[in-house]
Amino acid sequence: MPAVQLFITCLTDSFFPTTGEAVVEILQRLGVDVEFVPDQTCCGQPQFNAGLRRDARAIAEHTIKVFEKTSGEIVTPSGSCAHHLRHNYRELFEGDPVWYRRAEAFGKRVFEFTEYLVDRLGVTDIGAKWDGLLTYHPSCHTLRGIHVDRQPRALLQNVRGATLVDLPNEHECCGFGGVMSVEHPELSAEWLKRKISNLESSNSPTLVVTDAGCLMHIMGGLHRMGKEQKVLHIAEVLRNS
Amino acid sequence: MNAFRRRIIQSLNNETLQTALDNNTERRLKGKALAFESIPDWRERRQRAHNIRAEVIEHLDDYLHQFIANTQANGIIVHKAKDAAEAINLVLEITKSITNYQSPIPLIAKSKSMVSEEIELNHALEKEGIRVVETDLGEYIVQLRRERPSHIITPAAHLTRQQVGNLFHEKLGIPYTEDIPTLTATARKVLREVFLTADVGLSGVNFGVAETGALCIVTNEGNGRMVTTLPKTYIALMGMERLVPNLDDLALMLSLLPRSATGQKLAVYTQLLHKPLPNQTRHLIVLDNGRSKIRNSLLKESLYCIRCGACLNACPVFRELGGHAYVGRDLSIAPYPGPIGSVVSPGLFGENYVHLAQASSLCGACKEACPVDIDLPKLLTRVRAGQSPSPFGRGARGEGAGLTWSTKLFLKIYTRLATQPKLFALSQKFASLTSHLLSPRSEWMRLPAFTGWGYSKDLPRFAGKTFREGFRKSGTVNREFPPQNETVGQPANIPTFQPPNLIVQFTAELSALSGSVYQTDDPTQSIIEFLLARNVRKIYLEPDTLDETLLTEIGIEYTHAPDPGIAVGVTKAWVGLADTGVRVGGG
Repeated sequence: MPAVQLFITCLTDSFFPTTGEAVVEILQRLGVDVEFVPDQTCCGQPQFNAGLRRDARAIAEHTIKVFEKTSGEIVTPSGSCAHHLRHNYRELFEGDPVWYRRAEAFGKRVFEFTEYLVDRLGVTDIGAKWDGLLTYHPSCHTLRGIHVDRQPRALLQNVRGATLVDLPNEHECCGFGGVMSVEHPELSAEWLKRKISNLESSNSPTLVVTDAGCLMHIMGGLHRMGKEQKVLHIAEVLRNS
Repeated sequence: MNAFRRRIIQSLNNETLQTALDNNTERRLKGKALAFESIPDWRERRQRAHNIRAEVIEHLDDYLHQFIANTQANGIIVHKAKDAAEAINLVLEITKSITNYQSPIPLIAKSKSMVSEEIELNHALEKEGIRVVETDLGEYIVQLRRERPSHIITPAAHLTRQQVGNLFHEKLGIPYTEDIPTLTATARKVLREVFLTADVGLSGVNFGVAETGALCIVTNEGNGRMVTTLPKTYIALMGMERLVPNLDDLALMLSLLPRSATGQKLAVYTQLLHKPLPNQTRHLIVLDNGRSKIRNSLLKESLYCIRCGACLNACPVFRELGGHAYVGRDLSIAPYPGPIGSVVSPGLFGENYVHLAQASSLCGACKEACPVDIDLPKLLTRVRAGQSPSPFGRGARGEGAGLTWSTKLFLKIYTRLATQPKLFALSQKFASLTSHLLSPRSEWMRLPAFTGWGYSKDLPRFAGKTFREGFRKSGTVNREFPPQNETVGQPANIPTFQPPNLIVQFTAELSALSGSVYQTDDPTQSIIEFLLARNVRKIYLEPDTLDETLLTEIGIEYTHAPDPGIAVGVTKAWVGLADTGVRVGGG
């Protein structure tokens, strides 16, 4: 029975606990033992992206230390955080041989949730059911950061009753970008508008994402505009059986 | 609110600009995607191109040494300029050393050069009483408007055809028209005169080939050929990093550059310059201007850039703003816009541009579009981390370069929380409680616009109970769905290779360029029929091409010397390139 560590991410932890519960439920159904180390906090990506490297390093050291006390692979329901843990942690410790090695070893344990299901467990059909249309937004860091794309699509293809429709210009960023969404709200708003209008063109009432950042951003925009469409993390769709 | 953000808002509210940018972006993205379909091995090419550029930048001194020795051996006079002032002085000296100008005011005909924009050459030359005319159509348009180019490949990307119609009406005195062929023909008429009367021709350089000393210049309008051959003095202006080791590497780069820049398999004119023409002097100015400092910094990879502009077209920020919104704190427009510009500008031009790198969601579209696989998002975060070199002295920049103080403060506090788990959990409770107090009935909070977030979206309320509070380590449920043993690996996106019919392909490509292809077993007979059908009685004929006796018998006159009075010329092709419809000829 494999055991995995869950890195929940701060957004999912604080805003979307049900996504976390869905992740746990799905993994457990597949016979995976899920462990949660409570000293975990945030991965430090906001600080890193803003250029505050000293701060980002402090958080990275904390996270690495916390997970070094555990064993097994680390699963996280966010492509963006997975990208940060896997790639940016190494960038942070460039030139520091000790911490670089620790960051590298840590990064190798990290898997994004759908990547873990498909590439590690070899599962593409987990018996999920859905009624109606679904469309998928490939989050930037899931798609271009860790190159995870066929995995979520394969999982969604196998959801019974669901019709997966194309999201026009799906590869375009939704405008979240962490600190950018507050540093450059006007730009962010423009992309969000575009994403929402593409969602409307898809005719799907439900948009599926693999990242809490895009989730919060797009649903926040939909709510502000008074739109009916819903945004769901892929785990919430897959848990439905 | 700072100048940059004000400029962003202006751009977003400018509908004409938005239309122009949308058109440009869509056309470029489509064109690029289509052009890359014809090289199924583009992923490997891209990796090879990356490695070649890395090799050149790693050993730049050696390659420069070899390149300069070979250009000198070719008879080109080489100058090195360490900064903008030196480069400008060199151009001035060369121009002023000419004794017999063709007209009272010295005239320089320029083909496109981003380096000349970087050093603000035109302005400096005009101050010295020299007339400078841009001969690339887009550059000519922005010069008439007294603007900077808004895109490194398509300088007038920010303009609609209506705006160009108005401009030509005002500045060139033609009746208003939106008809592109008429506008182009008008510019051509003006520019032909410039080519013929210019004292100096000046252009940029796309690649220098270290092994042969060749200067490679890629253009689409033929103006590059004119400025490099017609004036008695020619000056090439190049950034010191623009080298490839040899011709094989150049061929690889040329398979990527036009595809990425304009969606062409090959640009209309690709020139390799070696020896000066008889009675011509050729100069080469190799410019540093901060490149050595960038090379010794963590932004070194930005020097791999081949200036194709693909990252601009792919960038969602550029798509909204256009090049003119990338302004420094003093409102001056950054010569290089887009992702690559936000990376190199602080290193080349200083602190003034350091905030540009904050305007990115790090979405990675630029890296994906880059034909030499530059990790632009990583470089942007390095600029934000204050790792760009300062061109003035070596003062290290602070972390969080370009960030507003309020965001910085928030993130600093968040760091304190995130490194102390108990405090972190406590702050989550506090945030949840506060958000429930503020928004007792709705699951949503409407923040004011100044918070940034509240500008266009609502914030969900913090969960009443965080995930960590609810997590119970329960026993695992039995495996209901045994794993399917499907093979894991990236899907094969690479189409299977089928040998094409070369003639069909050549014909299709040449037709796309408005050429016509005829097949014949008897060229002389076919050409005679062609000429008679059009009532042509006199042609220019390349020697040893057709049966000249037969021509004389039929009564078609021919000459081997160029003659402006002749409308039809017959030449041979050494080879036709099926992939691009290009005919390679001699002479």
